[in-house]
Amino acid sequence: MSDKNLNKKSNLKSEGLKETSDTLLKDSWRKLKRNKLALVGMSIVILFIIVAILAPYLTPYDPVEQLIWTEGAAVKLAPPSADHLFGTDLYGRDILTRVIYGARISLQISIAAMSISVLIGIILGTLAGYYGGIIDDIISWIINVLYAFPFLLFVIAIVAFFPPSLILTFSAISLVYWMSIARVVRGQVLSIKEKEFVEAARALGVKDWKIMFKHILPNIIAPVIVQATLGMGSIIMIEASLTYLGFGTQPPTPSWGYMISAGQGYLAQGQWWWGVFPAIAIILTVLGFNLFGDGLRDALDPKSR
Amino acid sequence: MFAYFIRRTLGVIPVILGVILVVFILTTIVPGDPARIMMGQRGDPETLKLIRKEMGLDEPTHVQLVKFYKDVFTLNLGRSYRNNMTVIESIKSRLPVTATLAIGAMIIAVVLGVSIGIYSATHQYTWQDYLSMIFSLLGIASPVYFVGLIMVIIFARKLGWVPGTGLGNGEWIYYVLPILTLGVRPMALIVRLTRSTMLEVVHQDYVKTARAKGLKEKAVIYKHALKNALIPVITIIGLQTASLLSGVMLTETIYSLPGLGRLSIQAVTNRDFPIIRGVVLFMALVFVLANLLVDLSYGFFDPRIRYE
Amino acid sequence: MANKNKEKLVDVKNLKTYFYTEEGVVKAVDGIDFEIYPGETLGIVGESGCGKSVTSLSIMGLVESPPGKIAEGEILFEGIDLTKLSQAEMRKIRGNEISMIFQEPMTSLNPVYTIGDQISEAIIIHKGLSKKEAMKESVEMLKKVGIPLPEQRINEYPHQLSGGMRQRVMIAMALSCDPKLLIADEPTTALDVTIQAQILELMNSLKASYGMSIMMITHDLGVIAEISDRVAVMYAGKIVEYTDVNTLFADPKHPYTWGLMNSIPKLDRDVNRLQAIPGIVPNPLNFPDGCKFNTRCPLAEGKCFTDEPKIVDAAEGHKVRCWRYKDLEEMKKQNVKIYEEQR
Repeated sequence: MSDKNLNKKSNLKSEGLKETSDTLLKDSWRKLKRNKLALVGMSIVILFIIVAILAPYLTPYDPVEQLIWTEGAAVKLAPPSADHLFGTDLYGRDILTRVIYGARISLQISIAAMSISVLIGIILGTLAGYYGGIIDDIISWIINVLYAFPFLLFVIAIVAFFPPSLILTFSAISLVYWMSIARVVRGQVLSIKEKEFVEAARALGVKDWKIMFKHILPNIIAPVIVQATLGMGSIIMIEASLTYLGFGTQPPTPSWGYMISAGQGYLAQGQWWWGVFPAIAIILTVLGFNLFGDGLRDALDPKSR
Repeated sequence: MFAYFIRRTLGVIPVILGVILVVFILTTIVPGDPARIMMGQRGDPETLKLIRKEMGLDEPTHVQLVKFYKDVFTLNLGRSYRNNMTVIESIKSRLPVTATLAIGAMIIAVVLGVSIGIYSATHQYTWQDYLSMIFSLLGIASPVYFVGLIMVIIFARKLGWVPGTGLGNGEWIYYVLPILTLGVRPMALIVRLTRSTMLEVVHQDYVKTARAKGLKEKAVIYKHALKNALIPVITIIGLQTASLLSGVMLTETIYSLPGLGRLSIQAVTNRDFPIIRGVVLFMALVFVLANLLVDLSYGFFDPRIRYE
Repeated sequence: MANKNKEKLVDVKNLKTYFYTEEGVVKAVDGIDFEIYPGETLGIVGESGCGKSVTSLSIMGLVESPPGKIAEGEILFEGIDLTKLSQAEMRKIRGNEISMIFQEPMTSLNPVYTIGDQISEAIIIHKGLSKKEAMKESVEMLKKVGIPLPEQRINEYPHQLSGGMRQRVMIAMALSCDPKLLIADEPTTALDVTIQAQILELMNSLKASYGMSIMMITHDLGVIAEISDRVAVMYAGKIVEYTDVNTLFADPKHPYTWGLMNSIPKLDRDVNRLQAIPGIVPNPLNFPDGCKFNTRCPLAEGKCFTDEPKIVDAAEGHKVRCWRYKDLEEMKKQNVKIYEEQR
């Protein structure tokens, strides 16, 4: 009978926890709404996602079709006009269209890379934090070792020797990005596993995996979301850099990094639109994720009331 | 203090061993036969076999690994497939350019970043504060190569103040734009971090105590607040080394500078494995050592760690 | 009149310190008057948020501005109005003629400088001594506050000392320039009970040997009883009762003071029968009309909800801000418990 009683108690406790997390959510939303920069960031992120999803409906042009073959020199590097709001490139492709489709590629790669990173990061981070000891030593060692490599060089060293593809790009990025998630998760788990409700569950003999799933995981979601949001900016940046150097998304697939590298030679000659518009797209998107991530962090931090 | 120094230094060893391991894995799992890649189409089966033997490629993986560790510790990293220079020589010849860039950029980033950050924090909500915030937000979000591009166009092409590309005969003026380009991002990060930690620190009790002593505001900020605020800034400096080295690759590419970054990209394009191994290894070691230095300098800035 | 003014070390007149926040104006200190005579200890007691800390920061000229500002009033220190002094003039007084110790000894010392560095700093700027002389002086100060092995301690860092030791260091620092007034903001709250007593004892003995005045800010009537000569009880930014310490404990005239007294355990009373003041301090952005204590006062009625009482002389040297202090007197005589007992 004492067992039953204890169970009841632990149920009560986790219910209490749920309640506080509900008010925490409301509280966080209220704080986020007050933070104007975070709202700007959130709007940019939402706009980016909508544009990426609706790409084909937003523009009458095809991102890869080279119009100079049908319409002639008039559409070769044409400046911004009513027909082509962002102008056209050397092959008569509409730059606005390519920027829009570029958002799509960017979003696909960054979401895929981030999902894998979050998955690996949560698993390894939780294992390291929860079990400690040798498991923690090994995982922390892997993290410290991988951290030592310059991101870009590491990814390039991976992708350069395989046939280029979207899957390769995001896999390689997640292979080096998961550890920033794992670090955050490990730290959180370390502090949460000392809390009374985890100790209580352990004392009751609840299985480890169940404790991790039911008691620990819900408590690390917020910091993971923050880290992932901030990380989206970094990943978009890495993908663009990779592509700029010729190792990422391959032409003719529209991608921002490639457009900058292709357009940069024409920038100084006055045909600025080829390189500048995709650059603005990168800056805005990264800025958006950074602002939104910072806002989320402040809003979800229970310390900053 | 001494014990702390020793402990941190020893702590680096497993990381270095791991780094070497990862470099080995990175260059062994690659599809394709290195000997074939090295010889291109011209190699006949006999030569290929000979090369494989010479490089130890016919040995089992663990033997190769042990040999690799030995090679690394004896600084015997082999020769470039392309020009027959040893890897060490190649790195040595490219290092000065990269070191100048990276160190110059870091100095600018720290000096300007910390100063602007303090100014911003002590003038919160003024237009100067907003301006520096906008600068740092954009600095963090802008790709290095785009910043470089814009700088070249403005300062080299339009204004003609400094050369836009190449190294000339190595005069300092050729380094101005690349260093600025590379420094923008770390500087922007340091501005933000300094500002936010300063804002946090000036509300600490000990700052109130310092004011209550009758200290001048300058002494309060620069003596009592700053030393505390610098601790997280130093951490960032260490961690920024890695992204600085990534930035070096991009900066050297846009300015066509003969440094390690370009060397590594060329090596990847040419599948020059010894060089790839060497440069990746070198850069990772630089990061590890930079962070060791940062750890050790904590001891100087934060007595709590010294006596831990 | 002028003569009497000179006698007072500190004379605070109608001090109003407001904070102009986004949500509205917070009247943290809203028109208080008190004085401190040379060599005496004035206790200021009240719950957190009553404005007692802001009062001390106002005297030090350390109210954070913006959002804070002394909106009205005078703080006469030896006849000079501190509110009119420039920052540079104020700096000569701070840490020199008026010094202050804070609540949290754990965070009030700078973690990255040695004890000696931090004590000698004030000596160097106010007494114009060299670093070496100042260090010697610091050792002397540490001796005076009862820190063992002071020559060693000056080279140590705050984290190497216990909380009680740190508070002694704070006191040494505050007294290093021989101040006329020491403001102590909850100096013992963060310490263990035994250490608390030691620190209070130290302050009492130092007060005697230095001949300084102390302004003791606390929420703890026990501390007040230990150290004060006169007491001002604050509630919601105003002084509600103001008299000497014996009178206050023997004959509290404000229901709030009465409530505070009943909420401290006493040896001669059944410890289980503490009476607590119900409710919480009202939101400073939204004070009630009338008497600000009316949300919690068991005696509040009619007039209390519409008009704010003025502070009046209830007896010689005993001021109180309450419409019904006479009724309270009656009730006390009849031994009526006005607060509910808590077990």
